Amino acid sequence: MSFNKSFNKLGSAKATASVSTAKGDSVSANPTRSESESDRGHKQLINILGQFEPHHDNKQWTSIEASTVSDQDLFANDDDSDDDGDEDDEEEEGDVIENEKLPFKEGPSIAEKDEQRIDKKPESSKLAAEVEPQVNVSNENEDSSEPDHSAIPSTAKEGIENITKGVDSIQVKSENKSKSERLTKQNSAKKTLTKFDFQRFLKQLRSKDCEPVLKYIKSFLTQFQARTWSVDEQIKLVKEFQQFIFGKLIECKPFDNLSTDEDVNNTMEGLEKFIMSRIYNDTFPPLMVERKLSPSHREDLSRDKIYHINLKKYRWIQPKHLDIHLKIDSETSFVKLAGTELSKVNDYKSPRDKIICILNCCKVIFALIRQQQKIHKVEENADIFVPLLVFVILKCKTRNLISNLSFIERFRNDRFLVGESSYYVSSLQIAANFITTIEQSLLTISAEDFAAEIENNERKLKEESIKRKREQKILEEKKAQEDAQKQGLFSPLTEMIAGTGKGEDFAPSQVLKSSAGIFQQSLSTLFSSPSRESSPVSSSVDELKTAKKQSLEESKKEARIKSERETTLKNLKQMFPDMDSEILLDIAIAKNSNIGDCIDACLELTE
Amino acid sequence: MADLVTQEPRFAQFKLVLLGESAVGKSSIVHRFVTDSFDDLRESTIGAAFLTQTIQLDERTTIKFEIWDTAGQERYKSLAPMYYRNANCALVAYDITQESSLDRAKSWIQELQKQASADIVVALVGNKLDLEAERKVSTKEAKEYADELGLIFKEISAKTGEGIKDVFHSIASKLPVEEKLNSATKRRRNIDLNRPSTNNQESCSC
Repeated sequence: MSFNKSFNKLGSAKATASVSTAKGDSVSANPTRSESESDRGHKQLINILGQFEPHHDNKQWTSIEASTVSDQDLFANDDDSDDDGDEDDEEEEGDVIENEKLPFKEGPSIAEKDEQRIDKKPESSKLAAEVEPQVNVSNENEDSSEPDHSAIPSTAKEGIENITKGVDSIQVKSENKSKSERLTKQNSAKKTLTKFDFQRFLKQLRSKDCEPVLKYIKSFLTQFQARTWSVDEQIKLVKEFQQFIFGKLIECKPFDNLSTDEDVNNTMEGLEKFIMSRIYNDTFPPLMVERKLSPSHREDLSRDKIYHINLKKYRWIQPKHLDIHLKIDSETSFVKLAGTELSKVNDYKSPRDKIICILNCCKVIFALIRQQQKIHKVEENADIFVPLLVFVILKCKTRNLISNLSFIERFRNDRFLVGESSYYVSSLQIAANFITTIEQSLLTISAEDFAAEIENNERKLKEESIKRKREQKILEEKKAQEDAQKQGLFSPLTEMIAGTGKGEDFAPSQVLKSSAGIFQQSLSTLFSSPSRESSPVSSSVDELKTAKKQSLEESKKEARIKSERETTLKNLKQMFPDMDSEILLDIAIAKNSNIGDCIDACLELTE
Repeated sequence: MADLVTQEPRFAQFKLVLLGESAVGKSSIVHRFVTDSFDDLRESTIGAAFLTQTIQLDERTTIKFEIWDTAGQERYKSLAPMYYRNANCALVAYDITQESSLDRAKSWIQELQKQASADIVVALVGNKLDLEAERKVSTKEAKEYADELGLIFKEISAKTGEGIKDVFHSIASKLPVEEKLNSATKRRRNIDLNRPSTNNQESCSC
């Protein structure tokens, strides 16, 4: 097996770089990246390495022989083993891997916990609460009796609703089931997206028999992360390692008994996700540390840059410039929704999850086409789909789109990048490349108008930049003022502390002690449910606090459901202006405000 | 499991790209093929730009076409090679009532010869045979061109369905079915994660 060689080579490279250096590098991230990104990168790296426990010994990661390392560490982010209720911890883990745990926590208490998390988080990270992008893709192999979660997912909360049901939702649309079953049996390896149960894979991987395999994986990950590789080397290493380790895995229980294609696919999908999630920061260029970027990685970044420059430069483009003769604009709900779906690619680390985001985006575009078919005479085909896709990505400004596409193309298992997935990924590549190559001749616009639009836009951009700078300056000044005020606030305390012995009440030790006491108290309320050991007084205080918190959560939850419904209803009214608003409300309630389900229902009604 | 599959009915899958100007009715051709054929199975789940259809080549061999519709507008032309990567066959359509559409079809064919794999099976089809009265492109002219380049040639009507099954059957019969079946079987037996692929290079641009 060719990988054995490269694996040994990899081993002989003697990866001495420890985890902590990698961490350090990631902190001093690429200056061209935004702070939040490098921050996120750092957190993700910590996640990948399962470094939350401070007592964890980094050195043991570096070799296969390090048998003392608990295998649990590898799983640290995939399951619920670190369920210590540490909320800071959760906040940091705003990423997909950690959230893999969600589908299998079925109890209401967990759902509540998730909701809390959502409430605490800013909008951007809400999405991360979704476990996996929901699969909208129909799949004829699936039992049709399953509830239809298909269609278009909208918000993270709906995600949770669906997810707590533990469904990787795929549904049947084929009318001729027996035929389709026959065919899929013949060819089930080549379906668009097979059903995938990551938790099942993880559970299997945890069996005692798989320990040696886990050590291999661990060693591979460490060594992969320790060095700088070219893109070709990365692809080769990852693919060959996956193949190699798959071979090893099927010798171990319970993987030695993969009887169906579905089992085989699940294992392969599982391996891909398991490995790619852990080396994401070394393979996805926007998150890679500067020194690890190979020329091809840099090219992705520079193409992302060009892409974004063009998004700005051509943001005035209207549907008519692309020969889209439909009544839509950037404010059309479908266009916005498609963009939102696509932009989720940045919330996921595994190639499969990213592809699902792309497919969801495309599905919304087709829903738009079908809706427009009622008004305009348009055929549902590539001639209308591709221009719409261009328009959508022009308006939604997804970050790192080029890097995401490269990542998918490089690391998605060839076995799965076929058929429909492949078609829509290619279409997106075409649309994205179109944007990086836009010029007047590629648009339906006269040279004069084109020049005028460009000039007009440049002027606006300049104005906006000036305005932004001014606002930033004001903000900075305000912050400086606040800081000064804060210092002023603390100064008496500092003075008091400085003036040791002057007043017994304010002796520094006492001040520190009492504040430490407060801190401890708040920590205990954070970590534990009302403790029996605590004094009756404090316990009742705790209970009170808990009760308050709960009622607050409930009202928050209610408010959230309400606002969700309102948003959905607003969207629906825009999309289906002819429909009775009471009917729309009923639909919104019936479908738990899931915009995708609602659209499907409305389309059905109007057909 | 895998062995069972190979002894039972055989199944091979091929990628077909659909090229032609928007107005020539290329989507109608495929729609007609997909909805009108022997097997009523449609596997498209996202939208109609990607469709699949199976045909029975012989008693035990089923062929499945993965049909990739392409944007026919000139502005996406330079990006089209992304569509025909790994394509096994192409259907290039023109409109017999539009002289210019044949020229455009010829330019697609040239592109295919330059960019697609060397063994790609290409069919040139003239659509709208139902509008014989308005014909602008003679059968002779198009056929001579096709023969010269060794392409499959048919005149068809998406409206009436005339000739459509024939085209897809002609394409299917020219496809390297045996080869595909062998490699597919091998792949299944080895559970090979990395089939030799040409599309995992880092060239997502072109």
